[in-house]
Amino acid sequence: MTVDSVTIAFVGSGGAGVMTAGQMLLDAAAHVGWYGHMSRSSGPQIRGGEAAAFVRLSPQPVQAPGDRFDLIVAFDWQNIERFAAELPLSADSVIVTDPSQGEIPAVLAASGAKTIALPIKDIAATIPGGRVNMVGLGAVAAVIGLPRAGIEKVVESALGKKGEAAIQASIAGAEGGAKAAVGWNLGLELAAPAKSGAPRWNISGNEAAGLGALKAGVKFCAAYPITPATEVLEWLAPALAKTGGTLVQAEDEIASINMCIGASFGGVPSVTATAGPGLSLMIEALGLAISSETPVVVVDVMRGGPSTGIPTKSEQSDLNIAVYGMHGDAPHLVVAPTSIADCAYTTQWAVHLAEAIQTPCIVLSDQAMGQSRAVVDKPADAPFKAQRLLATLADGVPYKRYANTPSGISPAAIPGMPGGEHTADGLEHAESALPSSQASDHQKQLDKRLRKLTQYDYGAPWADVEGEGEVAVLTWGSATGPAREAIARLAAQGKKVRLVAMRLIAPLQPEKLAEALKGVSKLLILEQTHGAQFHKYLRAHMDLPGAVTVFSRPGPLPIRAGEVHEKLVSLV
Amino acid sequence: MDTHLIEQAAGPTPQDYKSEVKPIWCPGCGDYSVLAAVTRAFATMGLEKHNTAVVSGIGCSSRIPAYTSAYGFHGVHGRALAAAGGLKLARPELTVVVFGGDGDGFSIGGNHFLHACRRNVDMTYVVMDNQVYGMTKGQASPTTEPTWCESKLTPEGTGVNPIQPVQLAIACGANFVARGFSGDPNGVAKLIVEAIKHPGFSVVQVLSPCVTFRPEQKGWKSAVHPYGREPTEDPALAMRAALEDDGFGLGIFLAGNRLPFAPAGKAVASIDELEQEFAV
Amino acid sequence: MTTARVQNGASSVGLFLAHAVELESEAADRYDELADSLEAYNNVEVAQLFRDLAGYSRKHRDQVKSIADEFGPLPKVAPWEFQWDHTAESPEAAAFENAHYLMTPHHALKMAEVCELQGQKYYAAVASETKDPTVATLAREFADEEGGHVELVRRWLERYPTPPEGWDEDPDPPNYSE
Repeated sequence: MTVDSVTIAFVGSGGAGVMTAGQMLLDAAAHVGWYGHMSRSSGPQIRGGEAAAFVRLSPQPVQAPGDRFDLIVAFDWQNIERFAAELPLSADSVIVTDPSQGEIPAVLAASGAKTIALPIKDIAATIPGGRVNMVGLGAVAAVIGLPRAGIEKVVESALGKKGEAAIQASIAGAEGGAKAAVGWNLGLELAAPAKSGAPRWNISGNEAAGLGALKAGVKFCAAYPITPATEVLEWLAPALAKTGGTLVQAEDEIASINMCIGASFGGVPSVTATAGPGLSLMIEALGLAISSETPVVVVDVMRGGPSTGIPTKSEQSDLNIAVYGMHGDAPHLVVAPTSIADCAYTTQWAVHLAEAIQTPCIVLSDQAMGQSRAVVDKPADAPFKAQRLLATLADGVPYKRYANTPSGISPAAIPGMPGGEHTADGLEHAESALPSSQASDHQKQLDKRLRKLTQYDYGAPWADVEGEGEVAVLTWGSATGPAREAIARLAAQGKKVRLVAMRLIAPLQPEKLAEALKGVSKLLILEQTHGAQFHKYLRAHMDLPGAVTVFSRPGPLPIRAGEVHEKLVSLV
Repeated sequence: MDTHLIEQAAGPTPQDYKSEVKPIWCPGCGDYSVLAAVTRAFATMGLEKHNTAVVSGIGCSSRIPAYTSAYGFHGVHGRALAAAGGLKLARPELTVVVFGGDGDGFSIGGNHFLHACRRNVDMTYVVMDNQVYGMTKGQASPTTEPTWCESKLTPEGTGVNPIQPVQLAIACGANFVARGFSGDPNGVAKLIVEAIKHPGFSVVQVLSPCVTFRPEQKGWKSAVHPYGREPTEDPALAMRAALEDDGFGLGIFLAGNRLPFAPAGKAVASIDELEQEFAV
Repeated sequence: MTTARVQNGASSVGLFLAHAVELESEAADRYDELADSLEAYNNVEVAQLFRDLAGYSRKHRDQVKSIADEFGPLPKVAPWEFQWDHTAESPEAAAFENAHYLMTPHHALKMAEVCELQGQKYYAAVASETKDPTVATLAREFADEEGGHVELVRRWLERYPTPPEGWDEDPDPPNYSE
């Protein structure tokens, strides 16, 4: 009797190697052909703090974290209260604990979960160079039926540099754990993977965002580190260097965004990545990019706000600032990936749109996608490339940088093009680019900058519209995964629910949305904000069909499919 | 003196680098001289307009890009050095010259100034220092003396010591540091040529009086003097000279030998190769 | 006055004429810049006066150029390589810092008077400095010419006596523009 999904947590504190265990479990599962998703949680200490790795594995692609944990392996119980809310358990859950580390904390035991004693530390001590995390990993492997070959492969690639002795010690540790788990009979053997042989990736959302930017043709990045966006920049640093681009570390976010805008003025597609506090700092410069019609892409990996907030946890509460943040009437692009893999597609699309429309595009990713890893089918190549409309300059014809074209997009002159010299400006300007405070020029340029956005044909990527039904879920970003899984559960029971996951947040597409929601009598708006920002944004622009229920709750806890399912059940 | 028998008509003239836009600086403003100096410098070097970019922030001095016929970028207050740095790093073949005033450069722009000096990207920064915020009607700036009481915002004077741009530039690692005076546009032109030619980050502080809010600065004509030493490549020597100078010493303080920051940009891998890292 | 100061202009006919052309060209450019700035500030009367002065400087420059044509192509001199007598730039380039948006024709003509006097002084210095007889002749001629200009400006000034105090008072406060 196998299961279709198993959700596992490793918990422990510094030195136990919790994160490594989780990573290796995901990697091993990937080698064997399973799909998976891994996220992490830790205390505020730079090192040695309490840590938890959350891994969900399945023979099918995993859309969301599990509703509850099937299995927890605890190396110790230091400060476990920190993670208690992130470790939903039930009486069907199993807690594997090292008796030498004391009692299972009441907050977890209260669930009624089954407990198993495993002398992890003792077993590790019997092996020269043995580590507790390998013992735990081995036990888990035995429980879920992960073949030994998967563990060996992962150990070799992780420890290859450390030499044969380290490899042997790790494998022995895993074997020790596996041996001790014989006879547990937990009924958590994972169903065999469908061996399709199709290429797959093991990637995080942040890496995917960097890759998407690169694939579109980005050649410049100015970077300032901030949790949880730093990995985007760290991935781009060597990647840009290797592909003929440049990444420079700036002194702050304001320098980053201005550097990107300067590079883009020079015709070079540019990107940066940040989080809420950094985006706040960048807002003025984004207004400059809007007014001067300079493309730039900012990946905002959203975290708990406001202000310093909860840097290591996810939320969708930067929607307002992304859409409304600039002073003045400053329409621009905002897009949001719907999954870890979609971070690549959407960021690539963002660069293409920004260059085509000559305006900033904010990519609203979040910590849940950015800092989680998933094993996914290798995404198909997307067709989006950075391509700016360049001016054809004729002798004797004065060049108008901000020419009032029907599309609203003015052919651009880039430094290096003789005859195209002009001064790009944040000041309002005439078509010639000269500063102007005239009413007619302001009206003309405002109309043009809006028109270029509203008249652009965004095509199918504006949203993922899936399924049919009178009941629909309208959502965006990382909330999409749990929505998809909840809808799939209902479909298995014969209940049809439609999904609209919006990728193009701004400019809003009221007509397309109305079309996608045609026939809907009950609509569930799903978002991870305290103030229902998404719902209010929609309502500012249009009426929504049917009876609307808003499920909006803030971070730090991830949205789980079960919560969405519960809400939908009351509607269908 | 190097002269050669060439028709004077050959080669670009300063006028070629001016746009048709007439400056709206107050008659008497030192910035007119700086514009003359810059266009003379560009003409002397024979720079190609389409390969030259002039970047500025906000303020009277920052209006300058529109008055030149090169490519220009008029950014937001204090961030010109960041925009210019990004532009130069992305397009290293362009000649990038940054303009701004003492407020734009040392107040809101102070942090970027520090790091621009430190980063040493090959570009030139001309600061028109009039020790006041002209555009917003005469507030004290970071280079204003603490006893100046003519601003409504600080009617008792700021009571705060000014920074000294030349010292700051040297301390933060700029590779070329000079001071000029708008009353000598040819001298400033020469400094700008040297600054552009010198690799790395070059800073030229131009004392440029504000006729409207600091009319007493007319007296600068008598206060300026050659600072009295040869340019050195040793920052310690240059700093000593700057510390001992009265703030009106003109000349090149530092012509250093730091290598400019310019990360190499040669492609050695394809994106497909990079994607392999994710393959299961 | 040190003898080294005007060395360049004094050393050869070519260099001397290059200086003379530059002297009038810069003067014309400067008057034009002043005219532009005063036009921008709606001081039409003085703007026009500066335009007229620019015109005269250009006429003088053209006169020098036609003399120079007899001597062949002029050497190319970088702006800071010109050597003037006690001035950092062309002696006839008006002192920018003395402009004021409310200035009157009197002030403008006082500026012009200084320019012509400085021009005259320069040529006189070259004339006494030079070892080249052609340069000496030309320099003396030009000095006399400048003397004539000084007289012209002074006669012009008679029409514009010193304005009374308060000429620079503006009841309006300064404007914000950005």
